[in-house]
Amino acid sequence: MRFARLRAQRWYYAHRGVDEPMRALLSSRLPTDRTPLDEAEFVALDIETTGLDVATAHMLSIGWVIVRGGRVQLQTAESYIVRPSKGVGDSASVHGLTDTVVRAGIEWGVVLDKVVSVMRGRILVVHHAGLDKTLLDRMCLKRYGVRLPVPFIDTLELEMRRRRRKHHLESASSLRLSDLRGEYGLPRYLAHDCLVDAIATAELLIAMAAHRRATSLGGVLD
Amino acid sequence: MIEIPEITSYLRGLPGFERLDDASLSACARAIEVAYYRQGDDILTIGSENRRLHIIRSGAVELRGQEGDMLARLAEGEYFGFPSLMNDAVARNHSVAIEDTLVYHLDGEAFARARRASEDFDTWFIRALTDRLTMHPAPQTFRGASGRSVRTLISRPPVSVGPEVSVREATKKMVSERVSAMLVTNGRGVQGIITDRDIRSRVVAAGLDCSGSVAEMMTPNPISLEGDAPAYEAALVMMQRNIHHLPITEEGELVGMVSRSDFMRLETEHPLYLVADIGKQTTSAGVVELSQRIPALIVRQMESDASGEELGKFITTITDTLTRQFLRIAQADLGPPPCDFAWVALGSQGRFEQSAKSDQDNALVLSDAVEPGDDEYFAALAKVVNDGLNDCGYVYCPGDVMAVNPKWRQPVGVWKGYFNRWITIPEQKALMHANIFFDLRCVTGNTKLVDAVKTSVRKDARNNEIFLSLMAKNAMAFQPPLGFFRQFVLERTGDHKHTLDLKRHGIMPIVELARIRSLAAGELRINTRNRLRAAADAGEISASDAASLIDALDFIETLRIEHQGRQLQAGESPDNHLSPKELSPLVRQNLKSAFSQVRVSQAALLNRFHLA
Repeated sequence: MRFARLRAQRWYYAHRGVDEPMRALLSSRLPTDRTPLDEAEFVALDIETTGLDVATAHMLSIGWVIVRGGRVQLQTAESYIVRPSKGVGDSASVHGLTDTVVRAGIEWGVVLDKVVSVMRGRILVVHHAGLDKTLLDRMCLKRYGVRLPVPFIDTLELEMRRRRRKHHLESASSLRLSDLRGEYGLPRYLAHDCLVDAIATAELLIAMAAHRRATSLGGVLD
Repeated sequence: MIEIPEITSYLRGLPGFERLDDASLSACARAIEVAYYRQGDDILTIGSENRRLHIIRSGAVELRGQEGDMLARLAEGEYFGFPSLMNDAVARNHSVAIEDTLVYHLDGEAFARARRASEDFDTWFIRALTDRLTMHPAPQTFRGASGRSVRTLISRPPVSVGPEVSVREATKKMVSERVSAMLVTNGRGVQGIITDRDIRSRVVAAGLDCSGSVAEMMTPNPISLEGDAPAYEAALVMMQRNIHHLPITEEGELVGMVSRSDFMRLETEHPLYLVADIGKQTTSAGVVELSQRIPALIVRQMESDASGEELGKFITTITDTLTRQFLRIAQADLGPPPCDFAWVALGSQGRFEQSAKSDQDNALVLSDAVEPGDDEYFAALAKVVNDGLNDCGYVYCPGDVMAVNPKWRQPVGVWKGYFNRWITIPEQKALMHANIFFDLRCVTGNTKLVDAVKTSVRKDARNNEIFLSLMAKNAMAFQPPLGFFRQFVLERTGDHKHTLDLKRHGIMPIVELARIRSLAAGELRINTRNRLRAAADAGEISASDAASLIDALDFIETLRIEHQGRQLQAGESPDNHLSPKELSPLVRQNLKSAFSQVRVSQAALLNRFHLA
């Protein structure tokens, strides 16, 4: 059964005792394969970091949007710039954020509380999730003493599995978010901040679900 | 509130939305639900509830009616569902994704708030809803010289003298001020004008004493113009009255004077000069050479805000002038005609609706007194004119409807017979070619000959339902397209074309409608707009239909002017083929409205003759 491990993990965390908002997240409902797609809720999310090394990277900014009823709900879009404990470092020029802008941001713990709150009863969706998910886990460990125990979908991973099934594994470059969106007939977005990327990921998710003719969560995940 | 600049700036680029302020745009951006539809998926079904404005972000959607018939194809950046949203009604069309499509569903409440926040936004959608033209042709920023006001030609303050001053004193002042004319004023305003010419003819040549007062020899109460009158009008007044100077006033107060030389300086290419110059030519080659100035003149007229109607009259007037001059040259060579004749313009020249690209359609109506041997003369006459016009760029009629063709060079009696046959024993195919003959207008010669033919036509055509219904059937050969789809023109059959033939699919359908309605009303007006107005006066069509069709014609002709103006300026030969790529979304929307007006009128015409 899908999410069995996650269910066990949540039970274990809950018995160790954690603070809000993590406590509420642990007691929220988990979906199943049979959950109708229209009833499942997703949080598509993107994080900009100070670097690509999981061990040292810090969150610079974060954006997310909720998918409900099979549609991307732009009124739920949120994005935050995180105030770091250390200097911004190399990544500033990449993301166009200067030290000044970043210092005006919000403390990482406050932002993380918002993430955990919005994840309650929802499924995390990230494109190329590795770094972002690891980073969120590490931050949750630091703040709540537990990892982020949510079901999550990596849209890149979903596409790779589809291609493997169809026996045509393409080079990783064509799995980039913008290239993949093009294949599904989705428009090209000009900006590349984390909110636009989160919206772009959310749209890719609903496009993939439509192409799989999925009506339940299992149909998307398989 | 969190901004989503990517979405906000996308909305700002959409027709209607560009009129919203930043706050309203941000609010709209956040009120969007994004949905993805696969090819073939239904979006709205007929009778379903709709609480949103649907914006196509990528992909394409087809709207279908009750019968599953295609109504429109919409692509990126186009909307649907606003009629049901705004009327608080259920969806009246079926919308289907015909490609994989991403739709921005804008919440109806947010849409309503934006309409309250911006009157322009509201107006745009109300107009889109009622399928009216959402704009009138944009005023041009550049105005050509003949569109200028006459006050811009005034180069110095007026020079004047009192009425009691002697002719000698006045002449001295004219010399020292270096002017060729002077105004005579008293405290109450302009009393008269004296010019070099007046002094020569009325004083010196007449042997009068130079010590007499100017009041005795001036031209009293000279004609004057207000400063805001167009320069064109000033030129016209001077030509018509054969005067060289014109006082200019502002609210009755004298501000200066303009002379013919001011115009010469202004533009040697003024149409009036061309018309005058053409009249001076004694050889066909001379006329043809002058005709090379026509394209530049047309461009100038286009730049000076000329409407389609004005431009049609302008170009036709020049064609008429050329025609008359060729006839004069031919007659100088061939001698006087053996009997009365009338040179007749047909088609667009007949209707006063020529564009920068027109071929020639003409005919000769001869007096019934013509003798068998006389045709040789008229054949030679026709050849000079037809060849001359061809050399001037009015290419030979592809259907050979020209006076040089013996069939179209006949006495009144034969012409009456032609029309009588077309009208009383109509054959569909023959009628299709005969259409332009109903646009006959006498360019020069004995007008009575043409009037005789027209009277007979009017009598035959009126109440002849079989003839009129065949004309109506033929008119359906010219159909406006359904609309646009991306950079293509969408035909009713679902076919895509790369260009829109503005003449065939835009202007001709209206011309045909007007011709039939005017004939049915027992009128034989020639100009399309006059025909529509006359048909409305006679109750053949409603006044509002006539007005809508005229609006549609104005809009399409303006597009044609802009298109041909660009071509002429680029040194290309003008045509009627417009690429949808040249069109802004707003212009597309308006064209669609114009097309739909034409379709409604065509359907009404079919109904009228029980052809539906």
